[in-house]
Amino acid sequence: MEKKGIRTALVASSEFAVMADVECESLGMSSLPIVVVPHPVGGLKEEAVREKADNALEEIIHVLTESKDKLSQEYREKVYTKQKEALRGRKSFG
Amino acid sequence: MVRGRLQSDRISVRDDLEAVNRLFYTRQWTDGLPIIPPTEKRVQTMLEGTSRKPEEVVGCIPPRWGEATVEKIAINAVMAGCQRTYLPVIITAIEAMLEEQVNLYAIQATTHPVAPLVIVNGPIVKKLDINYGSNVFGQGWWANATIGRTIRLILVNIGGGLPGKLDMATHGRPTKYSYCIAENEDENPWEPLHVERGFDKDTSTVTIFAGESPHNINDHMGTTAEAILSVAAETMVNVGMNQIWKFGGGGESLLVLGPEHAATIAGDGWSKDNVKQYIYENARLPVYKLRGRVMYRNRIWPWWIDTASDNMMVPVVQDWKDIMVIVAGGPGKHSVCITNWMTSASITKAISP
Repeated sequence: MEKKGIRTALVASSEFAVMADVECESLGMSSLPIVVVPHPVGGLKEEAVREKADNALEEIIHVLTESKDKLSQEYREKVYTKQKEALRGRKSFG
Repeated sequence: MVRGRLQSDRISVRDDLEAVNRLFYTRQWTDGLPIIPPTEKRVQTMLEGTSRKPEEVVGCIPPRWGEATVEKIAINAVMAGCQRTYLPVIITAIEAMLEEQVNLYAIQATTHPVAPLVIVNGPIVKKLDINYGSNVFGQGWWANATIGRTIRLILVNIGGGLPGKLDMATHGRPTKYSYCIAENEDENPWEPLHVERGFDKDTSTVTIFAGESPHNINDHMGTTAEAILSVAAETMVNVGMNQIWKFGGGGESLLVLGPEHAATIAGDGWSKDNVKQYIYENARLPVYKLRGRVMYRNRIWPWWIDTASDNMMVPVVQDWKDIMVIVAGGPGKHSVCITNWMTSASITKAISP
Protein backbone atom coordinates (compact mmCIF):
# COMPACT_ATOMS: atom_id res chain seq x y z
CA MET A 1 0.00 0.00 0.00
CA GLU A 2 2.90 2.37 0.73
CA LYS A 3 4.19 1.81 -2.79
CA LYS A 4 0.77 2.82 -4.05
CA GLY A 5 1.01 6.08 -2.16
CA ILE A 6 -1.35 5.17 0.65
CA ARG A 7 0.10 6.04 4.04
CA THR A 8 0.10 2.96 6.20
CA ALA A 9 1.04 2.01 9.71
CA LEU A 10 2.35 -1.52 9.96
CA VAL A 11 1.45 -2.93 13.35
CA ALA A 12 3.05 -6.16 14.52
CA SER A 13 2.99 -7.97 17.82
CA SER A 14 6.33 -8.26 19.60
CA GLU A 15 6.68 -11.94 18.68
CA PHE A 16 6.19 -11.16 15.00
CA ALA A 17 8.07 -7.86 14.71
CA VAL A 18 11.31 -9.56 13.70
CA MET A 19 9.50 -11.40 10.92
CA ALA A 20 7.86 -8.20 9.73
CA ASP A 21 11.23 -6.44 9.74
CA VAL A 22 12.95 -9.18 7.73
CA GLU A 23 10.10 -9.28 5.26
CA CYS A 24 10.27 -5.50 4.79
CA GLU A 25 13.97 -5.85 4.10
CA SER A 26 13.35 -8.63 1.60
CA LEU A 27 10.86 -6.41 -0.21
CA GLY A 28 13.27 -3.47 -0.35
CA MET A 29 11.51 -1.47 2.37
CA SER A 30 13.97 -1.84 5.20
CA SER A 31 13.17 1.49 6.81
CA LEU A 32 9.38 0.96 6.89
CA PRO A 33 8.20 1.85 10.40
CA ILE A 34 6.80 -1.01 12.42
CA VAL A 35 4.60 -0.20 15.40
CA VAL A 36 5.13 -2.98 17.92
CA VAL A 37 2.46 -4.00 20.41
CA PRO A 38 2.92 -6.61 23.14
CA HIS A 39 2.09 -10.15 22.07
CA PRO A 40 -0.51 -11.61 21.80
CA VAL A 41 -3.26 -9.65 20.08
CA GLY A 42 -5.41 -12.67 19.22
CA GLY A 43 -7.50 -14.70 21.61
CA LEU A 44 -7.89 -11.81 24.05
CA LYS A 45 -10.95 -10.27 25.59
CA GLU A 46 -12.07 -7.08 23.87
CA GLU A 47 -10.99 -4.76 26.67
CA ALA A 48 -7.44 -6.11 26.54
CA VAL A 49 -7.27 -5.53 22.79
CA ARG A 50 -8.62 -2.00 23.21
CA GLU A 51 -5.97 -1.26 25.84
CA LYS A 52 -3.19 -2.35 23.47
CA ALA A 53 -4.71 -0.32 20.67
CA ASP A 54 -4.96 2.75 22.90
CA ASN A 55 -1.34 2.41 23.95
CA ALA A 56 -0.20 2.17 20.33
CA LEU A 57 -2.38 4.96 19.01
CA GLU A 58 0.06 7.80 19.49
CA GLU A 59 2.80 5.99 17.57
CA ILE A 60 0.37 4.99 14.82
CA ILE A 61 -0.65 8.60 14.35
CA HIS A 62 3.01 9.59 14.30
CA VAL A 63 3.76 7.01 11.58
CA LEU A 64 0.79 8.13 9.50
CA THR A 65 1.49 11.84 9.70
CA GLU A 66 5.22 12.40 10.04
CA SER A 67 7.28 12.96 6.90
CA LYS A 68 8.59 9.79 5.31
CA ASP A 69 12.17 11.06 5.39
CA LYS A 70 12.09 11.63 9.13
CA LEU A 71 10.41 8.30 9.73
CA SER A 72 13.01 6.59 7.60
CA GLN A 73 15.81 8.05 9.72
CA GLU A 74 13.99 7.24 12.93
CA TYR A 75 13.20 3.64 12.11
CA ARG A 76 16.10 2.70 9.83
CA GLU A 77 18.40 1.50 12.60
CA LYS A 78 15.69 0.25 14.89
CA VAL A 79 16.32 -3.30 16.06
CA TYR A 80 13.20 -5.28 16.73
CA THR A 81 13.71 -7.89 19.40
CA LYS A 82 11.29 -10.52 20.48
CA GLN A 83 9.60 -10.56 23.82
CA LYS A 84 11.09 -13.92 24.48
CA GLU A 85 14.34 -15.00 22.90
CA ALA A 86 12.95 -17.56 20.51
CA LEU A 87 16.09 -17.60 18.43
CA ARG A 88 17.95 -19.79 20.87
CA GLY A 89 21.62 -19.17 20.49
CA ARG A 90 23.10 -21.91 18.44
CA LYS A 91 25.75 -22.87 20.94
CA SER A 92 28.71 -24.73 19.60
CA PHE A 93 29.31 -28.00 21.27
CA GLY A 94 32.48 -28.68 23.12
CA MET B 1 32.37 -34.09 -14.87
CA VAL B 2 32.76 -30.41 -14.03
CA ARG B 3 29.57 -28.46 -14.80
CA GLY B 4 31.20 -25.06 -14.95
CA ARG B 5 32.43 -22.74 -12.25
CA LEU B 6 30.15 -22.70 -9.26
CA GLN B 7 28.96 -19.32 -8.08
CA SER B 8 28.46 -19.88 -4.35
CA ASP B 9 30.80 -18.40 -1.79
CA ARG B 10 33.66 -20.59 -0.66
CA ILE B 11 34.19 -21.07 3.06
CA SER B 12 37.45 -22.44 4.41
CA VAL B 13 36.98 -24.88 7.24
CA ARG B 14 39.36 -27.28 8.91
CA ASP B 15 39.11 -30.64 7.15
CA ASP B 16 37.19 -32.23 9.98
CA LEU B 17 33.58 -33.39 9.95
CA GLU B 18 32.89 -32.04 13.41
CA ALA B 19 34.40 -28.66 12.59
CA VAL B 20 32.21 -28.35 9.50
CA ASN B 21 29.09 -29.32 11.40
CA ARG B 22 29.91 -26.97 14.25
CA LEU B 23 30.17 -24.12 11.74
CA PHE B 24 27.03 -25.00 9.80
CA TYR B 25 25.01 -25.51 12.95
CA THR B 26 26.02 -22.24 14.58
CA ARG B 27 25.20 -20.43 11.34
CA GLN B 28 21.74 -22.08 11.38
CA TRP B 29 22.24 -23.82 8.05
CA THR B 30 21.06 -27.21 9.25
CA ASP B 31 17.95 -28.91 10.52
CA GLY B 32 19.73 -29.79 13.72
CA LEU B 33 21.10 -33.05 12.37
CA PRO B 34 24.68 -33.47 11.07
CA ILE B 35 25.13 -32.65 7.39
CA ILE B 36 27.43 -33.89 4.67
CA PRO B 37 29.93 -31.09 3.93
CA PRO B 38 29.06 -29.58 0.53
CA THR B 39 32.53 -29.55 -0.96
CA GLU B 40 32.95 -28.38 -4.52
CA LYS B 41 33.62 -31.91 -5.67
CA ARG B 42 30.47 -33.27 -4.04
CA VAL B 43 28.33 -30.47 -5.46
CA GLN B 44 29.75 -31.02 -8.95
CA THR B 45 28.95 -34.72 -8.63
CA MET B 46 25.43 -33.93 -7.46
CA LEU B 47 24.92 -31.65 -10.47
CA GLU B 48 25.55 -34.63 -12.76
CA GLY B 49 22.08 -35.75 -11.73
CA THR B 50 20.44 -33.08 -13.87
CA SER B 51 20.86 -31.69 -17.35
CA ARG B 52 19.93 -28.23 -16.13
CA LYS B 53 22.61 -25.59 -15.78
CA PRO B 54 23.85 -24.78 -12.29
CA GLU B 55 23.16 -21.08 -12.71
CA GLU B 56 19.55 -21.59 -13.75
CA VAL B 57 17.14 -19.97 -11.28
CA VAL B 58 14.37 -22.41 -10.45
CA GLY B 59 12.53 -19.77 -8.47
CA CYS B 60 12.60 -17.54 -5.40
CA ILE B 61 11.74 -19.15 -2.08
CA PRO B 62 9.58 -17.22 0.34
CA PRO B 63 9.47 -15.60 2.77
CA ARG B 64 12.98 -14.33 2.26
CA TRP B 65 12.71 -14.69 -1.52
CA GLY B 66 16.17 -16.19 -1.85
CA GLU B 67 17.11 -17.37 -5.34
CA ALA B 68 17.01 -21.13 -5.65
CA THR B 69 19.48 -21.86 -8.40
CA VAL B 70 20.12 -25.43 -9.47
CA GLU B 71 23.53 -25.05 -7.80
CA LYS B 72 22.01 -23.98 -4.47
CA ILE B 73 19.54 -26.84 -4.63
CA ALA B 74 22.41 -29.23 -5.29
CA ILE B 75 24.33 -27.86 -2.30
CA ASN B 76 21.40 -28.56 -0.01
CA ALA B 77 20.95 -31.99 -1.57
CA VAL B 78 24.59 -32.82 -0.75
CA MET B 79 24.09 -31.62 2.81
CA ALA B 80 21.00 -33.80 3.17
CA GLY B 81 22.87 -36.87 1.95
CA CYS B 82 21.07 -37.32 -1.39
CA GLN B 83 22.20 -39.43 -4.27
CA ARG B 84 22.52 -37.38 -7.47
CA THR B 85 19.70 -39.35 -9.12
CA TYR B 86 17.27 -37.71 -6.69
CA LEU B 87 18.00 -34.21 -7.96
CA PRO B 88 15.31 -34.08 -10.69
CA VAL B 89 12.67 -35.05 -8.12
CA ILE B 90 13.84 -32.30 -5.80
CA ILE B 91 13.99 -29.63 -8.50
CA THR B 92 10.49 -30.53 -9.72
CA ALA B 93 9.20 -30.48 -6.15
CA ILE B 94 10.58 -26.98 -5.64
CA GLU B 95 9.10 -25.79 -8.93
CA ALA B 96 5.75 -27.24 -7.95
CA MET B 97 5.64 -25.66 -4.52
CA LEU B 98 6.47 -22.27 -5.98
CA GLU B 99 3.29 -22.29 -8.03
CA GLU B 100 0.91 -19.66 -6.72
CA GLN B 101 -1.86 -22.09 -5.79
CA VAL B 102 0.40 -23.84 -3.27
CA ASN B 103 0.85 -20.58 -1.36
CA LEU B 104 4.33 -21.48 -0.06
CA TYR B 105 4.76 -18.11 1.62
CA ALA B 106 1.89 -18.81 3.96
CA ILE B 107 3.02 -22.38 4.57
CA GLN B 108 6.47 -21.13 5.55
CA ALA B 109 5.39 -18.34 7.86
CA THR B 110 2.24 -19.60 9.56
CA THR B 111 1.84 -20.53 13.22
CA HIS B 112 -0.08 -23.62 12.08
CA PRO B 113 1.69 -26.95 11.76
CA VAL B 114 2.16 -27.65 8.06
CA ALA B 115 4.81 -29.04 5.75
CA PRO B 116 4.77 -29.69 2.01
CA LEU B 117 4.21 -33.43 1.53
CA VAL B 118 5.99 -34.72 -1.57
CA ILE B 119 4.12 -37.62 -3.23
CA VAL B 120 5.97 -39.35 -6.07
CA ASN B 121 4.30 -41.41 -8.79
CA GLY B 122 5.42 -43.24 -11.89
CA PRO B 123 8.39 -45.38 -12.92
CA ILE B 124 10.89 -43.24 -11.04
CA VAL B 125 9.53 -44.63 -7.76
CA LYS B 126 11.08 -48.04 -8.31
CA LYS B 127 14.06 -46.67 -10.16
CA LEU B 128 15.06 -44.60 -7.13
CA ASP B 129 13.66 -47.05 -4.55
CA ILE B 130 11.29 -44.53 -2.95
CA ASN B 131 9.29 -46.30 -0.27
CA TYR B 132 5.57 -46.75 -0.83
CA GLY B 133 4.90 -49.75 1.40
CA SER B 134 5.36 -50.57 5.07
CA ASN B 135 6.39 -47.63 7.23
CA VAL B 136 5.88 -45.32 4.26
CA PHE B 137 5.80 -42.20 6.47
CA GLY B 138 8.63 -43.44 8.65
CA GLN B 139 12.33 -43.92 8.51
CA GLY B 140 14.55 -46.37 6.64
CA TRP B 141 14.66 -45.38 2.96
CA TRP B 142 17.53 -43.28 1.62
CA ALA B 143 15.35 -41.59 -1.00
CA ASN B 144 12.41 -40.73 1.24
CA ALA B 145 14.61 -39.46 4.04
CA THR B 146 16.98 -37.33 2.00
CA ILE B 147 14.62 -35.95 -0.65
CA GLY B 148 12.34 -34.73 2.10
CA ARG B 149 15.27 -33.44 4.10
CA THR B 150 16.60 -31.48 1.13
CA ILE B 151 13.25 -29.76 0.72
CA ARG B 152 13.37 -28.62 4.33
CA LEU B 153 16.98 -27.43 4.09
CA ILE B 154 16.06 -25.40 1.00
CA LEU B 155 13.08 -23.86 2.76
CA VAL B 156 15.39 -22.86 5.61
CA ASN B 157 18.61 -21.92 3.85
CA ILE B 158 17.23 -20.29 0.72
CA GLY B 159 13.75 -19.32 1.90
CA GLY B 160 14.85 -18.10 5.29
CA GLY B 161 12.37 -20.28 7.18
CA LEU B 162 14.17 -20.22 10.51
CA PRO B 163 12.07 -21.30 13.48
CA GLY B 164 10.80 -18.38 15.49
CA LYS B 165 12.14 -15.85 13.03
CA LEU B 166 10.32 -16.27 9.71
CA ASP B 167 8.89 -19.75 10.34
CA MET B 168 6.43 -18.95 13.09
CA ALA B 169 5.12 -22.46 13.70
CA THR B 170 3.95 -22.67 17.28
CA HIS B 171 4.94 -26.32 17.61
CA GLY B 172 6.02 -27.48 14.19
CA ARG B 173 5.91 -31.20 13.45
CA PRO B 174 8.39 -34.05 12.92
CA THR B 175 7.30 -33.95 9.27
CA LYS B 176 9.35 -30.79 8.94
CA TYR B 177 12.48 -32.94 9.02
CA SER B 178 11.35 -34.91 5.98
CA TYR B 179 7.98 -35.54 4.33
CA CYS B 180 8.29 -37.60 1.17
CA ILE B 181 6.48 -40.75 0.09
CA ALA B 182 5.51 -42.60 -3.04
CA GLU B 183 2.09 -44.03 -3.85
CA ASN B 184 1.68 -47.79 -3.71
CA GLU B 185 0.65 -48.19 -7.34
CA ASP B 186 1.14 -51.97 -7.18
CA GLU B 187 -1.67 -52.34 -4.66
CA ASN B 188 -3.86 -49.46 -5.79
CA PRO B 189 -7.11 -50.99 -7.15
CA TRP B 190 -7.91 -47.74 -8.98
CA GLU B 191 -5.90 -45.38 -11.17
CA PRO B 192 -2.95 -43.79 -9.36
CA LEU B 193 -2.96 -40.11 -8.46
CA HIS B 194 -0.98 -38.90 -11.45
CA VAL B 195 -3.16 -40.77 -13.94
CA GLU B 196 -6.25 -39.39 -12.22
CA ARG B 197 -4.76 -35.95 -12.78
CA GLY B 198 -4.23 -36.49 -16.48
CA PHE B 199 -0.69 -37.81 -16.72
CA ASP B 200 0.32 -40.95 -18.54
CA LYS B 201 0.98 -43.93 -16.29
CA ASP B 202 4.60 -44.03 -17.45
CA THR B 203 5.19 -40.36 -16.68
CA SER B 204 6.87 -39.78 -13.35
CA THR B 205 5.40 -36.98 -11.28
CA VAL B 206 5.67 -35.08 -8.02
CA THR B 207 2.58 -33.91 -6.15
CA ILE B 208 2.83 -31.28 -3.43
CA PHE B 209 0.20 -31.28 -0.70
CA ALA B 210 0.46 -28.84 2.21
CA GLY B 211 -0.43 -31.05 5.12
CA GLU B 212 -0.50 -31.49 8.85
CA SER B 213 0.99 -34.68 10.19
CA PRO B 214 -0.56 -37.99 9.20
CA HIS B 215 -3.35 -39.13 11.53
CA ASN B 216 -4.20 -42.80 11.89
CA ILE B 217 -7.52 -44.26 10.78
CA ASN B 218 -7.64 -47.50 12.69
CA ASP B 219 -10.36 -49.89 11.59
CA HIS B 220 -9.93 -53.61 12.21
CA MET B 221 -13.66 -54.40 12.15
CA GLY B 222 -15.00 -53.15 8.83
CA THR B 223 -15.62 -55.74 6.13
CA THR B 224 -17.48 -53.39 3.82
CA ALA B 225 -16.59 -50.15 2.08
CA GLU B 226 -19.10 -48.16 4.08
CA ALA B 227 -17.96 -49.57 7.40
CA ILE B 228 -14.34 -48.58 6.77
CA LEU B 229 -15.13 -45.21 5.27
CA SER B 230 -17.52 -44.29 8.06
CA VAL B 231 -14.58 -44.53 10.45
CA ALA B 232 -12.43 -42.57 8.01
CA ALA B 233 -15.03 -39.81 7.68
CA GLU B 234 -15.38 -39.38 11.44
CA THR B 235 -11.62 -39.30 11.87
CA MET B 236 -11.21 -36.62 9.22
CA VAL B 237 -13.28 -34.06 11.13
CA ASN B 238 -11.88 -33.04 14.47
CA VAL B 239 -12.40 -29.63 15.95
CA GLY B 240 -8.98 -28.02 16.30
CA MET B 241 -7.43 -29.45 13.16
CA ASN B 242 -6.08 -27.01 10.61
CA GLN B 243 -8.93 -27.33 8.21
CA ILE B 244 -11.81 -26.58 10.47
CA TRP B 245 -11.98 -22.89 9.84
CA LYS B 246 -12.25 -23.44 6.11
CA PHE B 247 -15.07 -25.91 6.49
CA GLY B 248 -17.29 -25.78 3.48
CA GLY B 249 -15.19 -23.07 1.94
CA GLY B 250 -12.03 -24.44 0.48
CA GLY B 251 -8.96 -26.55 0.98
CA GLU B 252 -8.48 -30.24 0.35
CA SER B 253 -8.33 -33.29 2.53
CA LEU B 254 -6.09 -36.26 1.83
CA LEU B 255 -7.10 -39.85 2.52
CA VAL B 256 -4.23 -42.32 2.31
CA LEU B 257 -5.83 -45.75 2.19
CA GLY B 258 -3.78 -48.66 3.36
CA PRO B 259 -3.78 -51.44 0.75
CA GLU B 260 -6.02 -53.75 2.78
CA HIS B 261 -8.67 -51.10 3.31
CA ALA B 262 -8.43 -50.13 -0.37
CA ALA B 263 -8.91 -53.77 -1.42
CA THR B 264 -12.05 -54.12 0.74
CA ILE B 265 -13.52 -50.88 -0.56
CA ALA B 266 -12.77 -51.66 -4.21
CA GLY B 267 -13.97 -55.22 -3.66
CA ASP B 268 -17.43 -53.80 -2.92
CA GLY B 269 -17.36 -52.20 -6.34
CA TRP B 270 -16.66 -48.67 -5.12
CA SER B 271 -14.70 -46.37 -7.39
CA LYS B 272 -12.36 -43.68 -6.16
CA ASP B 273 -15.05 -41.11 -6.92
CA ASN B 274 -17.52 -43.09 -4.78
CA VAL B 275 -15.01 -42.88 -1.93
CA LYS B 276 -14.62 -39.14 -2.34
CA GLN B 277 -18.37 -38.57 -2.50
CA TYR B 278 -18.97 -40.67 0.58
CA ILE B 279 -16.34 -38.79 2.54
CA TYR B 280 -17.75 -35.46 1.37
CA GLU B 281 -21.25 -36.41 2.50
CA ASN B 282 -20.17 -37.83 5.84
CA ALA B 283 -17.05 -35.95 6.97
CA ARG B 284 -19.06 -33.09 8.42
CA LEU B 285 -19.56 -31.20 11.64
CA PRO B 286 -22.69 -29.39 12.82
CA VAL B 287 -22.65 -25.61 12.89
CA TYR B 288 -22.96 -25.49 16.67
CA LYS B 289 -19.57 -27.19 17.04
CA LEU B 290 -17.95 -24.53 14.87
CA ARG B 291 -19.78 -21.39 15.91
CA GLY B 292 -17.62 -19.07 17.97
CA ARG B 293 -14.73 -21.53 18.15
CA VAL B 294 -11.43 -22.29 16.46
CA MET B 295 -11.11 -19.47 13.89
CA TYR B 296 -14.78 -18.78 13.44
CA ARG B 297 -14.50 -15.05 12.86
CA ASN B 298 -11.54 -15.35 10.52
CA ARG B 299 -13.60 -16.19 7.50
CA ILE B 300 -16.69 -15.37 5.56
CA TRP B 301 -18.91 -18.39 5.59
CA PRO B 302 -20.31 -19.57 2.24
CA TRP B 303 -23.83 -18.32 1.52
CA TRP B 304 -25.32 -21.79 1.70
CA ILE B 305 -24.25 -22.38 5.30
CA ASP B 306 -26.95 -21.17 7.65
CA THR B 307 -24.81 -20.24 10.64
CA ALA B 308 -27.95 -19.78 12.72
CA SER B 309 -28.91 -23.40 12.22
CA ASP B 310 -27.25 -25.40 14.99
CA ASN B 311 -27.44 -28.79 13.32
CA MET B 312 -26.69 -27.88 9.75
CA MET B 313 -23.86 -30.23 8.77
CA VAL B 314 -20.87 -28.48 7.23
CA PRO B 315 -18.58 -30.54 4.93
CA VAL B 316 -14.85 -30.56 5.49
CA VAL B 317 -14.23 -29.28 1.94
CA GLN B 318 -16.21 -27.25 -0.52
CA ASP B 319 -16.64 -29.92 -3.19
CA TRP B 320 -16.32 -33.71 -3.22
CA LYS B 321 -13.55 -33.42 -5.79
CA ASP B 322 -11.42 -31.70 -3.15
CA ILE B 323 -11.08 -35.00 -1.33
CA MET B 324 -7.83 -36.60 -2.49
CA VAL B 325 -7.43 -40.36 -2.31
CA ILE B 326 -4.19 -42.28 -2.71
CA VAL B 327 -3.05 -45.75 -1.66
CA ALA B 328 0.15 -46.19 0.33
CA GLY B 329 1.51 -48.28 3.15
CA GLY B 330 1.93 -51.96 3.90
CA PRO B 331 -0.12 -54.76 5.43
CA GLY B 332 -2.48 -53.90 8.27
CA LYS B 333 -5.94 -52.51 8.90
CA HIS B 334 -4.91 -48.89 8.94
CA SER B 335 -5.33 -45.87 6.74
CA VAL B 336 -4.24 -42.29 7.23
CA CYS B 337 -5.83 -38.89 6.88
CA ILE B 338 -3.88 -35.70 6.41
CA THR B 339 -5.67 -32.42 6.71
CA ASN B 340 -4.78 -29.58 4.43
CA TRP B 341 -3.47 -26.18 5.40
CA MET B 342 -6.64 -24.58 4.07
CA THR B 343 -5.36 -21.82 1.78
CA SER B 344 -3.12 -24.06 -0.26
CA ALA B 345 -4.10 -26.23 -3.21
CA SER B 346 -2.16 -29.32 -4.22
CA ILE B 347 -0.37 -29.54 -7.54
CA THR B 348 1.11 -32.33 -9.68
CA LYS B 349 4.03 -31.82 -12.04
CA ALA B 350 5.91 -34.09 -14.37
CA ILE B 351 9.52 -34.72 -13.40
CA SER B 352 12.01 -33.51 -15.97
CA PRO B 353 15.66 -34.61 -15.96
